[in-house]
Amino acid sequence: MEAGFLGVGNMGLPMAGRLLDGGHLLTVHDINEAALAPLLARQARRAASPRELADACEIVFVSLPTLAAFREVAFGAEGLARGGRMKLLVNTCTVGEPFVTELAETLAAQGVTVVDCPISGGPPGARAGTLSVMVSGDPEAVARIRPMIDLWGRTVTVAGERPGLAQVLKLTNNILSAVALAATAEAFVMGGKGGLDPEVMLAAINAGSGQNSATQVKFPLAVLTRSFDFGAEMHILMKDIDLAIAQGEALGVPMHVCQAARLVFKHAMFRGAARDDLTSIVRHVERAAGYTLPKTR
Amino acid sequence: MTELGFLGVGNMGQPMAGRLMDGGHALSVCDVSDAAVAPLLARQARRAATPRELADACETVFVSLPTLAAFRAVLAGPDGLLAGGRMRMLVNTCTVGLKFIREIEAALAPRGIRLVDSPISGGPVGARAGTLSIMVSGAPADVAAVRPLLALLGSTITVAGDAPGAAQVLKLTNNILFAVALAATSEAFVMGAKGGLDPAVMLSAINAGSGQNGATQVVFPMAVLDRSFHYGAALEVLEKDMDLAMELGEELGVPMWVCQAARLAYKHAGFAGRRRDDISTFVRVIEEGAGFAMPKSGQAE
Repeated sequence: MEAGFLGVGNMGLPMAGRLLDGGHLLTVHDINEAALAPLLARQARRAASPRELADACEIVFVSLPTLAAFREVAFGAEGLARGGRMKLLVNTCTVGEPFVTELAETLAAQGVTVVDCPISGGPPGARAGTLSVMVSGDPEAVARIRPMIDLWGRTVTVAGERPGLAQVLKLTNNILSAVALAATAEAFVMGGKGGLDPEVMLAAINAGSGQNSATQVKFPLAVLTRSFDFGAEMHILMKDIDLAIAQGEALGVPMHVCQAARLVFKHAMFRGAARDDLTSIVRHVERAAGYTLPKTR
Repeated sequence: MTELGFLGVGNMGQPMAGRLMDGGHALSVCDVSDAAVAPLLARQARRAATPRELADACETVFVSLPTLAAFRAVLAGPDGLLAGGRMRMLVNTCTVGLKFIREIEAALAPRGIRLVDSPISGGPVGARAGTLSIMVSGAPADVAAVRPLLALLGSTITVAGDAPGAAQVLKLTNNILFAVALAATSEAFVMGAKGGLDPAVMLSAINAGSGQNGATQVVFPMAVLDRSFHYGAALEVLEKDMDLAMELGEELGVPMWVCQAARLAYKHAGFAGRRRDDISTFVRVIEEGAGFAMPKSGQAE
């Protein structure tokens, strides 16, 4: 199949690469020329603007880090909405239910169907093709892109038939991921300062009920190595947390623990951590505790 | 083989005692509940009427009790473990915190009784299957002596350090992560379901994604989605673990905002009279606050 891919950053690049691996033809666009290079080297074609991308492709995938960036590429002067050929927009970003609903309603007026398709698993999962893919939208449209999104992960979950439901699902997942990261940072600093070897903690917790995605993936990969290079910046996670809390408040669900995690990340952001790797939240807990976990790998 | 003593055969103790019997060990058991000891007596375990009687009969005594108060009560007094004449080794499988371990150590040492600190993780399900995660600390010779017994209880044995207490710190590190996960998962699932998602769909996506944790992998599929609320541990146990962990964190001077929030959430449930309720019912606290109950849902593929 042929498709357009807009935004080939930390997540978009490996996801676009998987589509090329699967034999699909891609036209790509990104404001960062360097980011495009690896795909152009693999015979992807380049579009000069979002509009040109939507002029060239019926199906356009979007992978962008922020809601503001998405709004601009969708509705700006050179935006996707001005393109003539696009019939199906596949949103892979976590932008919240209200924006996806707005996007779907606006584009429906010009005959474009929106499929909501946020993903989970980070850059390592995107490279390995082990993302958790959540999708919602018109069943025919979902069926049409299925051969492509199946290339991203072993698990594709259909959240419902309305674009936006996949956002709710994604935020449910991500708020749990954020809580796990903050709580694991607190618990590991406590255990480490209490005299435990972090490797011993990790082994026992991963064999026990305390295991979560931070103990299974982020700590072994980027914290115990002290490399803090999981591959996603804190502001991305912050955005997801903010969206999840906004969703929870809109629905009237008390979320005390999730709110506490939000404050921990907010505090780190206020201290200038926006562009730091999200695993560096550990350093903020360490600084407040006056203790640093040792490097064990 | 020498007879082992087992004190406290409740949700956790009973399946653990059963595993020791499966391994060919003769057992004396002690519990205030007749119903709790019955299945073990049917398998030829002997019953000790008091903790003292147990410590009079057995060199090695396992203790599995849900609260610190219960543990204190079986140690001292004329019918307590310390009054027994034969016990040489006490194996603590409870989560009681660092301070209490120091307290037990001080009581045991003058009588020449060794202490192995061996809290366990994995819940009643893991206890029945013999797949508990066992954390152990104590003098290396003592740990080596009980290791074959511990191996009957769990597939993973982690040595946390060479003095009793280190295993408590490790256990609390594990348990606060579980408690935080359960509270946050309850919040997140009520949000998602109220937002229109099928809980079974949420579960399968989250368990394939970065949101997975001990609650999404075990408690929710087993006891929340089917609304059976029968995980097999009471909220008071989590409340105790949170109290002990926060006490440790504060003593060490580690800021723990997320863990503190979870502690308050469980405290609130306790104040509302839910201490004896199954831990999986915590989701009902959130549901009541949200004015929404998750539907009963089957398992997604």
